Amino acid sequence: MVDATSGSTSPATTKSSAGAGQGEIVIETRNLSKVYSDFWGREKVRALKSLDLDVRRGEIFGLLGPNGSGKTTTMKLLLGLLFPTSGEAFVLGKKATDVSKNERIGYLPEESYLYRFLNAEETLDFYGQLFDIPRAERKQRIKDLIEKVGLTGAKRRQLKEYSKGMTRRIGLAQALINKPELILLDEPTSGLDPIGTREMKDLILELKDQGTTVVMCSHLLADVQDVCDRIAILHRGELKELGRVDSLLKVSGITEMQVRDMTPAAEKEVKEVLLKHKANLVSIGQPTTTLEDLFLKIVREEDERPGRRVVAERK
Amino acid sequence: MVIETDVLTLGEWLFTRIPVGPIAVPRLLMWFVVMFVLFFVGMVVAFISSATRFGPIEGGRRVAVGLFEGLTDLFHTSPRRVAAMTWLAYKESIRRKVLWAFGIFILLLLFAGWFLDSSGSRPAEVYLNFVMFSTLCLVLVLAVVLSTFSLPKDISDRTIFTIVSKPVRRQEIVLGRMLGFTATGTVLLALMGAISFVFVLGGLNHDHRLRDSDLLPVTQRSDKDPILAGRTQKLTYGHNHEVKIYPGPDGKPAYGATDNSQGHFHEITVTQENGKNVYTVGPSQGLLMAREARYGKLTFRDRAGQDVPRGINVGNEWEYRSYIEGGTKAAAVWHFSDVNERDFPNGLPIELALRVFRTYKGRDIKEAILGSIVLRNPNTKRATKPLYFECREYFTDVKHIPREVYDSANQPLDLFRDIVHDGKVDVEISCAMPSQYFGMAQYDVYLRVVDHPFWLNFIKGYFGIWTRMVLVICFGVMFSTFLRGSVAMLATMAAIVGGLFMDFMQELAQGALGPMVAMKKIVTHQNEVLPLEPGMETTFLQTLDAGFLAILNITVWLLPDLGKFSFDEYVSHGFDVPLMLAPGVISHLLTMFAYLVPMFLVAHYAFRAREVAQ
Repeated sequence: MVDATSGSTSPATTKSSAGAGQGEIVIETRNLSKVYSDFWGREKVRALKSLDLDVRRGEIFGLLGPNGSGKTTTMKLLLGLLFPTSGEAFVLGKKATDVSKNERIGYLPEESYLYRFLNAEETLDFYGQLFDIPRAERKQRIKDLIEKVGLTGAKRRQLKEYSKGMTRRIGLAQALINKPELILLDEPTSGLDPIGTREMKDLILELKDQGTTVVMCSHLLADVQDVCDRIAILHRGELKELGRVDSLLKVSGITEMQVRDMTPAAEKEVKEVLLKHKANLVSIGQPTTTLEDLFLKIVREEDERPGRRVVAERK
Repeated sequence: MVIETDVLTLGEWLFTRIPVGPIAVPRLLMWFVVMFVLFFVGMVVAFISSATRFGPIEGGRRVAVGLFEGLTDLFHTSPRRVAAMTWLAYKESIRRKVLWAFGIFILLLLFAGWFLDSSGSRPAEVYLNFVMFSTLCLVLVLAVVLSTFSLPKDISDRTIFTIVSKPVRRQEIVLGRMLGFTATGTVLLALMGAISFVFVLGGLNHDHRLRDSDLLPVTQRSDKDPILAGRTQKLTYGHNHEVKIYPGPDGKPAYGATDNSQGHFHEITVTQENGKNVYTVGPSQGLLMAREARYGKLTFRDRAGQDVPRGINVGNEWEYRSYIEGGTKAAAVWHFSDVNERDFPNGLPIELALRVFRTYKGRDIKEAILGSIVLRNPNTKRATKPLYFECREYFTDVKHIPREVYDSANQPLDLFRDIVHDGKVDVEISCAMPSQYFGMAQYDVYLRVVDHPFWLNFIKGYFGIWTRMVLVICFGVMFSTFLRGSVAMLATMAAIVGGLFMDFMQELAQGALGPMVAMKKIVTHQNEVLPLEPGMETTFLQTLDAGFLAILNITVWLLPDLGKFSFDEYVSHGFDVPLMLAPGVISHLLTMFAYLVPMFLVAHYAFRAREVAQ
């Protein structure tokens, strides 16, 4: 187990073999509440009501909910951008308002809240200087990160000239500059095209493999389902559901089988076996791949062999 | 030059007692007292606002926790992070095209060159006052605009989110901005200063034409006298000079000099070309100087010869100067100390800038009034014989007292053995013409110790502008931590205006009349002097006024007096800005920090209390 209070900048080396969701507690909230009030102290909005939550080391945790459910408020409370009205929040063993915890966390906001008059190198160098990283190592990390997010060609251009995708990528780079143990992603896949979304999801899974704990909040349910281990569903500031994705989504009572090379004769026999055991056949047919897989397959083929593709209308 | 505060050594200045109501507190201690009062008031305000939100116990707990955590955070300030935030603020301000201010400055200078009058009697003063004043205005405007909008913009753009989610302390963000904008301002100030310097030199520099036809040979001369004398031709600078040409070893005209008028003189070199004399008048000298002055303590003797602290008032409202009557025993006595051979090997150079008050015109109004100087040993009372001089208003006279002096019986004396006692000497000045008066203040007569290079003094003058710029920047950043950008700008501008008109505000604050009573009187056409009719309404208005005047008094106490930070007069009048005296470089630096520290602490706690994601 990595000592959470040592302040080291290397990520936890505990692999997910310990079982995501079984590790030490990285984030904990107790009765966390947030009420927005106006200047005179009158209540305006109860954004979060008594939230009890914990996030374990090495897991990918999703905060789900419609707009206004309090998921962004929760994230801001965890980062110290807001102060709780009552209750407590702890991140990596310290109070959420303790700025020193930020040494080991990373944050990717929904929009790019970066300074547009700096270029990519200056941006990463500036944020890197805010961490306790030796100079030579910082320079090396900047080089590696720029390459990793694919911005080597544009590293000298000011951020105000970047496209949305490029801005998201430099935002990612600054979130990873300190090799955080915990990374918070606010709507990481919103606004991205299918390729970008796939890359982001791959990156999240890669982070988990490295032992980083990931907390993401999103309203894109399919993306959350794809990557998250545990989720919390919020609605109007209250926690409505909390648990592992696989166990939450399991439909009990139904068994699924996928068979290759099934002949019509085999199919007939299977149906008889089921009838004999008094099982109810709900449906039988060809499974569908996802639209994402189809899209990515087409794009990949196009990259390999550019040219007009023959499209046959399928009924 | 007018110096209205006492000139003290640093040590004396730090412990000068400042009156506060019935008691007087040493200046250094005063700072701690004010800091403590501010802290106490801050705690009360924080407690009240916290208690209304969370109840007294929880509110009190939150205030205590916030205070303690704020203090521990201060100890975790990292120079590396502050340096990064400073760099960011610097880059942001450069990219905001603040060089426009610089461009305006150049334009201003170019136009001003046409209008500045260099033909007056004090061209250096005109030029220097202009460049320093225009630099100050531009730099202060720049400081306000830079400092007040930066943090609010960060918060509204939400770029602050990325910063606050990094391990940066709030005070590092604030300090980084203060330092970064100071850096930008300093660079711009240095550039403006360099260009101003060149502008002043160019504007003042001139020469004159001199030809053989302007000169006449001097008859009845001895060896040391010039062989030629005359006047230069008139030039557009509105003046010309008397000229004296001296012979070289071959008897021909070789070199010379003009007289010292309009505050300067020129050296002249003579060359021979085609058998004719060619006179080259060199650049003006003495216009730009930085005299180190040593001051003495001034007392007076009235017309009966008795020692009194002040002279008479001839009816002037401004009591900076007092007067002595001519033709009587009245005299102004300056008591100098620390007069030694090392500083004054050739004798004492005394400079006088006295006023004259005439009760009758004399032969003509421009005629100078005769005065006399006597140097006296304060111990043995032995004195030199009177040295007579002609006193003209608004004119600085230089009198050099040599080492060999004579007493009234024409016996020779040595200045340092017989007249100066233990470094002390008294300089007595009297007016010789009856019914005319000389006016003087303590700093009108001084010993001219040594001349320092002008460019160094110019830099010190710009240091005076720099301190005011830093104060304004810190005000701006402090206000922007808890106010919106435009409101912070208004508040900072109010602080500047209040700081520049501190004398007026003090008058208002110490007066008895307040705005509510005044308004009532204006509206009901009552006169200023008679009090209002007693009654409930009057009492109510007077209570409001008492509150207003209390607030005004506190503001006057807290706001820095920006005018007092200025060294402009020193530079334009040609006096060296002292380093170790007060007012001087170090005393102003200390005063600046005395304001910066509380401002930084207020900004630190205000910013800590702020939820940037609201």
